[in-house]
Amino acid sequence: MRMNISVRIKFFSGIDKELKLNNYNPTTGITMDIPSGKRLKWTLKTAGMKTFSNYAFFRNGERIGLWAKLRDGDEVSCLKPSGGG
Amino acid sequence: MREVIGTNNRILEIDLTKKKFTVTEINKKDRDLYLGGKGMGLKLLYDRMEPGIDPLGEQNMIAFCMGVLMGTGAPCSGRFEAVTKSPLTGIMITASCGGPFGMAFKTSGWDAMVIKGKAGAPTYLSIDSKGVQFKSAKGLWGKDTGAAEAALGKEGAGSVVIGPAGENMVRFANIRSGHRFLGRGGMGAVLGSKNIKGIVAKGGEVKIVPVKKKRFNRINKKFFKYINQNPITSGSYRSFGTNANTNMSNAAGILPVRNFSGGSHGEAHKVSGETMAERFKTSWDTCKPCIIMCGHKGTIEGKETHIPEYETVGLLGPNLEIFDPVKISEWDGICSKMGMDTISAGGTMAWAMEATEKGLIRTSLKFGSPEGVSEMLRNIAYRKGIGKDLALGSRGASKIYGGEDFAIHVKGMEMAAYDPRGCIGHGLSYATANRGACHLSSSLMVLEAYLGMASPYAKRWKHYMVKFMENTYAAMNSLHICHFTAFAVFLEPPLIKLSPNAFIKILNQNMSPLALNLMDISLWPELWYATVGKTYIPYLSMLKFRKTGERIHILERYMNTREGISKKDDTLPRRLLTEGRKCDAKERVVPLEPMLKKYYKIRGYDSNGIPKKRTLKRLGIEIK
Repeated sequence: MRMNISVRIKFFSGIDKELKLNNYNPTTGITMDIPSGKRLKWTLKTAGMKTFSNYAFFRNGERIGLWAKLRDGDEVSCLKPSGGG
Repeated sequence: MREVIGTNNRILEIDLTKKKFTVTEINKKDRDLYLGGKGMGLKLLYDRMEPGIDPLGEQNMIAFCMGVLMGTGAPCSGRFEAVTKSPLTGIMITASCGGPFGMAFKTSGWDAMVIKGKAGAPTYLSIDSKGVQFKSAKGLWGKDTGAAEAALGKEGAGSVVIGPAGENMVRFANIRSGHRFLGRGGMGAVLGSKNIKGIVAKGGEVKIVPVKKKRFNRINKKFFKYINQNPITSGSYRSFGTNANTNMSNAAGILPVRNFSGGSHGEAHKVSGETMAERFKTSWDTCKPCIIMCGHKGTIEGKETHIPEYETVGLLGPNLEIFDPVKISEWDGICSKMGMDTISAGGTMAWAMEATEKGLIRTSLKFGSPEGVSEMLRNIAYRKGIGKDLALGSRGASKIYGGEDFAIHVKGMEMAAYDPRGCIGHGLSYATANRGACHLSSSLMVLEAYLGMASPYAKRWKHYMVKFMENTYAAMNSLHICHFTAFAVFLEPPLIKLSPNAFIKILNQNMSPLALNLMDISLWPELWYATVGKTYIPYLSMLKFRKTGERIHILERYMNTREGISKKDDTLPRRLLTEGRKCDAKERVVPLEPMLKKYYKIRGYDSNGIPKKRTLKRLGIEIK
């Protein structure tokens, strides 16, 4: 039987609004329990995201792709890319 | 209006001591080897200034140089460069600005201006196509930058001014033009030392036309298309301004927190561009001409104001452990009016907070508390109390009071808002940047931390990437076109656009010379060639563009070595080399030494970081 893992997803750049998340708190993000071995794309689809191409994803401070497998306790940030100032 | 085909090529040489000016020409060879903007400014001062002079003395000169593309209608080309010897670092400083002065100056029929000497009394310069008038600034001296600019604005289409910080020779005083700044290195203090309050240019006297107009328009159209389809230039910057970076840096673990002790913070989103856009109902407030529109204004506590840029937010916000956007905007406003660089002000303030905490100085400043910050910023500008010493920057203050280990600067210039422990190639870039801890010399953090196109922690080939980017950016700053166009130029050509990030990352990390040399950056040189009427040869002209950048970078390095710069200065603050951060499970630091060694080798420097004679000869730089 597959174990569930817990991941924290933080949405920025207005993604939370697109997903119509009520009372969304960017400090804590949302916590999702997902089956272990699931990838980021599956997780974000489950959270309601429909398009992915124009976003950047970071896990624990490092940029990752949509095919990255998530691990228990991961914190993932999703946002529109920017490029320095 | 008179049409100028290509470039004006006229230099206005001003002697403040004698109250006289002469007109000289930019020769064809220099134009070809150094373009305009940064490159031309460095060359003009290399030919005119001796090393070892006092940056605040009469012998220092300041050059204002317009870009080759300015006035042509190229996207984001309304930028100009100033070059001088910095009172903050004691070496050459170049800074770029998108304010209205540049266009007004160039359309007054000039491409460059070199100012030397010292005016006998507060003065402002009024420029038109015939030359310059020296006018009394007695009534302007003491006024803040906003008031001074409003007064000068009646006389021309664009001006540059200094505030009280420049008059009082704060080492990181800047120069204002519109709502933009020649920000770094204390150029405002150089003008202040010369008793110059401002310079105003009439503008609108000539019209710049590219030599190969049809070709220029065709390339320009493609450039506009690329900018409008790139998700960074047409997305984040337009929607949230440069401060879109706050959430990005926080997610990537490179946001400076508590004087570069941490790399992320749970409350950072409170000062992000997204939050400010929503809270302050922001709209565009940009340089001209610009289609990226990263500059924003908004309404804060009932007053319309410029929204702080990312660097300001990073250094005066999380770096002080402050997450109140209203307070940060207030401090941004104080720095703007006083005429001070917000990066150095924030870095110095963070040093003062830590020095206070450690008992080295006595102030009311405290991490996480806004109390006393506004007052201290004004004290720095007017050099009152301990503000007199903080006006020297974090290096200067730490030499007096101790605390050099946590003075976060390189070569005396405070670090921009990217912690290199989360992007080690950018650490090399900070160490080798000619003007100090500059984020614009190669901006490697974008490839490493933001875009994931290079591994942020791998040492391999970082020396090559830094060299490539330094050369490219030096040429770009001489054309002169906005840095942000790089995202469109680098990322939109089909080869890159259609390749997955992971593939580019692997290629960059393992075959960097091949990957970077295949990179199509032809839009910039194509615009250059069309403007001046040269025949563009695919690939070879792109190589020439990069070699031009290399020449400009090495000339600046050579000028700095004549001021005493060597390997000992190409380093990072001790904190970044020895202390890991909690936000990084592996608590990594920057492994600078091995990267630096390789960098010197491919740059053609000796082991002490001095450009070799054969390097200078290869690039056509006259050895002095």
